[in-house]
Amino acid sequence: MSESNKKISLISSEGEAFEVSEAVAREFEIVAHMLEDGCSGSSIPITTVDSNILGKVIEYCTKHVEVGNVEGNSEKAEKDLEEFDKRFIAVEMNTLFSLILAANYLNVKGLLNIGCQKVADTIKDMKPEEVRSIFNIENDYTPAEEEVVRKENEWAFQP
Amino acid sequence: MDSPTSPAQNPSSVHAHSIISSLLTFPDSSPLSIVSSFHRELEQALASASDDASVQESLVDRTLQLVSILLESTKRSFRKRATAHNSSSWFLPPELTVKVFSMVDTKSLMRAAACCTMFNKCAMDRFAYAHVDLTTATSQVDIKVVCNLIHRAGKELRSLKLGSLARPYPSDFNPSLVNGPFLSTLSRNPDFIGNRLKSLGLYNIRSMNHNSSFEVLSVCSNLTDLRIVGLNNPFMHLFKILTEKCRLIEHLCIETSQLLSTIDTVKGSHLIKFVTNSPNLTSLRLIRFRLTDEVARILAQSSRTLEYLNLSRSSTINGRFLRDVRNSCKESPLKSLIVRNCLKLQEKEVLELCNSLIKGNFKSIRHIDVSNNRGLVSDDGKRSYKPKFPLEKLKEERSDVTLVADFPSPWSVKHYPVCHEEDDEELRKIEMMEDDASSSDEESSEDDLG
Repeated sequence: MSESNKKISLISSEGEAFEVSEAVAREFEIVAHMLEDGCSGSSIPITTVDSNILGKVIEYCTKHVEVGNVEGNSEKAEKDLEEFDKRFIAVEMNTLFSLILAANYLNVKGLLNIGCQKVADTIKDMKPEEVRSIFNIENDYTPAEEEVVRKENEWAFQP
Repeated sequence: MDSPTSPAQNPSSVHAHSIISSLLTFPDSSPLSIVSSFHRELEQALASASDDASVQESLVDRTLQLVSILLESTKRSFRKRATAHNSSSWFLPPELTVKVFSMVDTKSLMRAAACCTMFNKCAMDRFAYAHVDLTTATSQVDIKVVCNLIHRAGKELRSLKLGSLARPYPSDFNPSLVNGPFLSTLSRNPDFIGNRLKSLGLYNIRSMNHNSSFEVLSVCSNLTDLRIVGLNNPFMHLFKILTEKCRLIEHLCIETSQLLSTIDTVKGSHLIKFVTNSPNLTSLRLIRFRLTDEVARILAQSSRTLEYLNLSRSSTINGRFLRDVRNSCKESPLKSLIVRNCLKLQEKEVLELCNSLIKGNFKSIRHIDVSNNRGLVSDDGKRSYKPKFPLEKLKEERSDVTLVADFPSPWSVKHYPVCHEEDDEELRKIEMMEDDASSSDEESSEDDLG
């Protein structure tokens, strides 16, 4: 199909244009829907995502489209992709949150899942004090409230 | 617009306002000076009422009350700021926070909920309990906790993991912990919406020996993934329930903790029926099952969907079943066949399998693993740690097949980490799991080889 070579511009919140193939743009489900709804313009504004994050999301989708197109040794390709994903989300927490928000807005399910999983893995096996310090969170409970919450799930605080 | 009751127009509140704002703008001198002036004023007020003890008393009470109101109000402002601060450092919206929470084990979730009020609110959401995983807190979790969590999850419960990956010591017995009889009550628990459940994992749960423990499965009609570790006593009834009630199973993994009697086609009839009649079954792990080669053959051949078969740690199969399996029809979907640490697996059967693969048989297969910490059985009945398989030739002729055959020498302390590269950590542990009784059992069964 000639359509697969079509280029589409995605415009970041700063107005920067990112030119991508239609196949990559379709990885953004929100864009895919726009295209299906007959929004045939070749440039699509993504007003809530800045250039830095949009660039990264495009990098993610491009890689996944590339690997998806390769025939043959799928096991190795899958492992490569896993490695890529792992490296891709090894970023500091604010960037990770921004990626998750962007993936959620643009509806890139794979990225949303690995992003959330990465945050979940960070919380895993941590004490409340540790979670607070990792995510820069302050204790906004009254002592009485905190006592209630801990008491309710006492089992989770035993060593 | 000022309303008529606006504090600005009320003389007494204007007064209060000016007192408090001057207090807040108190010059930032040494803390001692504010303490000493406060002390001086209070002493003076007390002295001027020195003739009436009750006036003095009420003055002190009032001051205490006032100060504690100020303290509380200051703390409240602090907490409000902290709440605002938290929503800017954790800037995921509640629905995404809940999604993250649904991905952590339940113990970690409970701990996170104690961090701040925002997390606590998100941890109230049913969806945060979509995957209840209590394997990290087995010894602390009793039946009440499980029921409470199931209640919180309600219709959102998709996966449930109970028990512990590590085998408990017999002395750890605690009747209020999750056990077999509890499972049998679960099917009657109105909070437990079994037909929403997709995945169930039961790890080394005590007293699972009664058939009634499996009744819980009869309400889980949409289960796709079932993992039971540490089964003992006869449990073939399990497969009958699965065949009848859980028609959608895709992945089944069962490990036994005790050597049971050998499963032949008669004893294993429910198992065979299950594998033959499960339309979606793609992976089957039967770890430490004493299957006969005949049953192994039927399992490998009779499913139209099975892609992954793992019969590791069987102490009975010798590999004869490979002869028939490799000649299976072209349509066989089987891609991976794992028979690691099978004590009686024979060198010659694996060799013949290699030769047959080289000839181009067994088209569907991509991955075979015959690794064994104790080598294979050679023709003379001895254990062979260096079998000669035509691996080079196999690579040339069948580049689509990976044969893993690793046999660490008997004196090497390092055991081959027997695992499939794709297996996750948990499955790896399950496959490697050993208990105290097992080694002696297997020693004795090795004796009757000769």
